[in-house]
Amino acid sequence: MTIITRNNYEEFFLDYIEGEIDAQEEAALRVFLIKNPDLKEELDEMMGMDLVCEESPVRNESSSLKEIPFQVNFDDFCVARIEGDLDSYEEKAFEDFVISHPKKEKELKLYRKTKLEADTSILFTNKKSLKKRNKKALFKQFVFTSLATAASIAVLFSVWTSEIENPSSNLELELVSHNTPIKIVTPDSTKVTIPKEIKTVKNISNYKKTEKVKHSSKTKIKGKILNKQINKMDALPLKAQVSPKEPINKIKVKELLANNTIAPIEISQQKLIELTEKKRLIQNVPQNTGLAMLGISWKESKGEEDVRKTPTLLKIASYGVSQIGKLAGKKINLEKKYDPKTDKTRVAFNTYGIGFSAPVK
Amino acid sequence: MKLEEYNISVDQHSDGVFRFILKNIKDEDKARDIVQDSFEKLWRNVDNVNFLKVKSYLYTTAYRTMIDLIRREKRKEDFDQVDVSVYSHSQHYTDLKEILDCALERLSDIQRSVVLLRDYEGYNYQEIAEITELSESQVKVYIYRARKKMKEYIGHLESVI
Repeated sequence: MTIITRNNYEEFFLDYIEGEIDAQEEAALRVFLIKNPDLKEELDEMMGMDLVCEESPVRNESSSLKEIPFQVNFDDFCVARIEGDLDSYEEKAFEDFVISHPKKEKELKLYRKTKLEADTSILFTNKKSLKKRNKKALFKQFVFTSLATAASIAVLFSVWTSEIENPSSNLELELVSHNTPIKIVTPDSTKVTIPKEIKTVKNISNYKKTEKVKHSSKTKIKGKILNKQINKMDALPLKAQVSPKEPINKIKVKELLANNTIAPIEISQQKLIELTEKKRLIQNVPQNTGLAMLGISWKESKGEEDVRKTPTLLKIASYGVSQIGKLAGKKINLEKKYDPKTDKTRVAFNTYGIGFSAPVK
Repeated sequence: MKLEEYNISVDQHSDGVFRFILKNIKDEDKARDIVQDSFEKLWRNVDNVNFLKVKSYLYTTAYRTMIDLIRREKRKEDFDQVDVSVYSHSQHYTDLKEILDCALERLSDIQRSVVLLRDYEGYNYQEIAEITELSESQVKVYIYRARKKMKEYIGHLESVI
């Protein structure tokens, strides 16, 4: 049996209250209480307290226990409430507490206001820039674009080459087909009605030399000028410079061949054009080469403005290339620029990732 | 994660990440840059990121990029040093949203971030801890402190009004 001392008496007291000690232990406890009368009072208190606890209502006790943390740490409980950190029992107790304290309710409302809401009007607008595309599809598109560009270039050069080989191109025939009225103007002093007979080849059905014309891109102009003075010749599809004050005597023209391409004809004192029967004006006409089609065979006498006036294949090609570029969704340029400083003209081809240029004479 | 899943992630999360960063740094251009960087990093690691965890990955990346930016700039004003009376002109605040924006600006960077992650995206403490590289208890403490500061700010303004 354990000896009762002042260090372990609580255990014996509890066993005594519960009725769990035998007679021998009870006798030892009575001896101990006689020797320690102060502890007897404690035993009496313990026995009395036990009775009081059994009689007190449980509801009041739990209410008083929960009230303490709410009062002391009210802010923490408010945050915990809006963060959802309270369990259901604590939540109900807290709500009851807040209802019974109107001032605390106001504070809880302020805490509720600190809860943020996402502003859905704020959007990341450029989502497309973040998205990725399939690498294989990208590669296919790149290959397709490259092939399309290469094919375009090949087609253009094919057209260009065919123009070189076949001078009687549709382009020139189109020019020939224009039944351009020719107006010959004379000064008032020498105004004489000029009966003229000017017809393009296309309008002469029974022209004897039609076959010859088929092989030539030049427009034949058949006409007679009866007066003896021609001071100015204008409105011909060719660029002719005729001095208005220098008469040309005794010119009898039966047939003229005029080229629709620009051919500077200078009539001066040093050099007069001798127009004879069936003499063709091919002296200054450029050779119909690819470069000529691009309008770059006569750069020595032409500025940039003059070049632009000429409808060349380059313009058509540039337009075609730009249209192909639109279809492919790429920017493709083919252009010719004349640099007066270096006195050089360059034809440049530019597209995405590819660009080259070549000087032309 | 596949290409399609990456593009879905762009649709689903770019707005949220942008909003989160913009509310933190108040600079639209920089917020866009951070979003762009975050998705670029995601794309570089697209094979290693699980689609189910992509949101957390994006917010983590964006948050860390933003913190680096903030540390470089060192421009933030601490809430504790603010004299509330300066902000007592009620005519500047038309509604609670503006007041909250002002209160949010006066939180410390970390407090603002955790509150935004909590309120905007509904992350729990553990998820926020992973994003911000804090412990769960630290996150909770930051949120509690932030709420108290914001409540004080709002309460002070209301009493002045």
